Amino acid sequence: MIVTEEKPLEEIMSFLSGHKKILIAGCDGCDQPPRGLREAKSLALLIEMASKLKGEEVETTYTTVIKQCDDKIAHSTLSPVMEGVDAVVSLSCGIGVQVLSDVLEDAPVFPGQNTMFMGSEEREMGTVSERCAACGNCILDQTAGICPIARCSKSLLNGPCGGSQDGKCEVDKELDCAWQLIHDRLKALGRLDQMDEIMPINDWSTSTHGGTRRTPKEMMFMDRPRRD
Amino acid sequence: MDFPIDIHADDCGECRICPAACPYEAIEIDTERNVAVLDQEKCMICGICAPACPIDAIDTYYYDPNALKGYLESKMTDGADTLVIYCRGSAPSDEELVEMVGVEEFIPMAIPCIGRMPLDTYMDAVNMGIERIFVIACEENFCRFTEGAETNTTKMLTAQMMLEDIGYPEDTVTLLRNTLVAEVDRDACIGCGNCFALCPFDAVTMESPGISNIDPEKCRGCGICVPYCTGMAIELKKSEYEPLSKKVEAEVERTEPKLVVFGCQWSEFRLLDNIYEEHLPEDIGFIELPCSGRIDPLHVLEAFKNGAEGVLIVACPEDLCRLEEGSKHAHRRAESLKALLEEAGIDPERLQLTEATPRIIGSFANALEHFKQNMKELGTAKKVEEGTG
Repeated sequence: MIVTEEKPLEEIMSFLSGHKKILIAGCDGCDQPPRGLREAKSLALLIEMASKLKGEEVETTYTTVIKQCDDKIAHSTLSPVMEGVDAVVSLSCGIGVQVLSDVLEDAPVFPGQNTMFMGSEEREMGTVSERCAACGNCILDQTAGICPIARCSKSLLNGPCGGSQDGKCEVDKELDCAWQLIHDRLKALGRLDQMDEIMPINDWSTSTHGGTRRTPKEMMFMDRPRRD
Repeated sequence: MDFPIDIHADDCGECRICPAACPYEAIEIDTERNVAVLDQEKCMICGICAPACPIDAIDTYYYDPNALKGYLESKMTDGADTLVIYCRGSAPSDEELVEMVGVEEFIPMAIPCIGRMPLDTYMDAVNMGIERIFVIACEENFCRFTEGAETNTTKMLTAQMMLEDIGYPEDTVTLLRNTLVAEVDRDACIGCGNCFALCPFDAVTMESPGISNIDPEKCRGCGICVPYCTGMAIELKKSEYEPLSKKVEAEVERTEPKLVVFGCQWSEFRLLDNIYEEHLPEDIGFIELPCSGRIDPLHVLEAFKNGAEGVLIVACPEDLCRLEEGSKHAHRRAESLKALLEEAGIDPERLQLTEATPRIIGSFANALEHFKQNMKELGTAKKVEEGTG
C-alpha cells in the first residue's frame, strides 16, 4: 500500500486561511495508515476547533471516497457534496490530491498528508517499510523475493557492496543489508548458485527516466491480447 | 479495612472451599496455622469467595450481603415487587432491560460480577416480598472474572430448586443472558485490517474482498477495535458511537465547571449507595466505558468542542486490565490526543489520564479529586465554543 503521514495541523491551517467552508475527503483505498471516515471526521473537528480558538468562523464537512485515485468514483462521490465548499483537504496520497484537483473544478484541493513510499505493514513491529520502487521491471524471481531496487540503499543489482557489515547497511546501522537478506534467503532455499549470476545493467527506461509513465488499463487478466 | 477482601483468620475453619472457589488461585491454606490466607497480589476483587465461605469469615468492602439487603430494603418502600440483578459487564441499555424482563417497574441492582451474589440474597429478597427476580448474567465464556457467570448459574439453580420445594412458583427466579460484543457493518467496512491486527482475543478474521468478520463467541466486548475502525463500521453493543456522543454533549451541558470523566467500568466499584443517584454531581460529568480501550478520540475532541474545560480518562493499571490490552491502548491514545489538542491550540494538560483500581479503596474518588484540583489550578479555559471573539 501507499504509506502516508499526516501533515502538522498548523501547515494544513495555513493552506486554509481565508476559506469558509471546507470539505475533508478521506480515502478508503490503499493509504496506510488508512484515512477513512473516522480520520476525515477527526481532522474536521480539529480544524473547526483550531479556527474557533483563533476567532475564525469556519464550517467543515467530511466524507470518504472508496478510492480517490479513480476519477469517476471520486467525481461521483464528491460532486454531490460540493455545495458551497470553497476548499477541499484530501486525506489520500499525492495521486488522490491530483485526481480531486482534476475533477473538482470550483474549489482548490490541498494535501492533508505527505506521501512517503510503497510499503508493507509489519503489525508486530508497529512499522511500515518500503518494499517496491515501481521500477517497471520486476526481478524478484532472481532475488529470492527481496527487492534490491527498493531495499538496497544503492539499488545495486549485483550486491552486496563493501558497506555491508554484520548484515547491516553502512547508511544506517539499524537497516538490514538487502543483499545479505537475499543471500540468506537463497541459501535457505538451496539456490545460492543464483548469487554467481551477473545481472546486466538495469534498463531504467521503464522507471521514471522516460517521463510520466502511463499505460492503457487492463480491466483484468483476460483483457490482455493473447500471445498465441 | 485495608484491602477490599479480608479473610478473618480467627474464624476460618480450614474447610478449603474458598481456595477452590477463587478463579485466580489467590487463596491458599496455611497448613501451620490452619487458616485460609489471601494473596493480595493475585486477588482481583471479584468477591466470588465471600458467599462461598460457609461461616461468613470473608468480608468484602464492596457489596457485602448486608449492603445488598439494605439497598433492597431502601428501594422496596414504593411497592416494587420485581428485582433485576445484573452484572455491570453485561447490563443491557435501559430500553432493552425493560424489553428483556417484560415489566417497566423494577428495582435495578448492578454489581461488578454476578458471581459474588450470595445465595442468601436471593432468598432474603423473596422473603422480603419480591415476587420475581431476574438475573442478567454474561455468557459463561464471556465472564471478565473467569468463573463468575458459572458460579452464579449453580447458585441460581439451587435457589430455584429450594424456592420450588417450599412452594414458590417456578418462575420466581429467572436467569437471562446478555453479552455486549462488537459487530461490523459490512457495508461500511473498508477492509483496513486494524481490528484484525489489534484484537487481543483473535476474534476477527478478514474475508475477501477485505471485509472484517467478528466472531461473537470470541469477542470479549473490550471495544479496542472501535476507535481504530477507520470506516466507523464497528459498533460495540451499548457503547455505540452516537449515543455516547449525545451523552458527552449532555454531560458537558449539565456540569459546571465543565469537566468530563471517561471511566473504565472495572477501574472502580461504586458503592451501592450511590449507584442510582438520580442527581449526579454537578461539577463532574461521567461516561462509563466497558473498558478504557473503548475511549474514542472523537468523543474526547467532541467534549472539548462542546466547551469542556477538562477531560479525564480513568483506566486500570495496565497489568490489571480485565480485557488484556485495553488500558495499554488508552494510554497510547491519551498521548497522541494530547499532541493533537496542542496543535489545535488547547492546553494538553486539560486532558489527563489516571489509573484507578477497586483494589485500592478510594482510589477512584481520589483520582477525581486530584483531577478537579488540577483543573482548578489551570484556571478558566479558553473554551472552544466561545472562541476569542
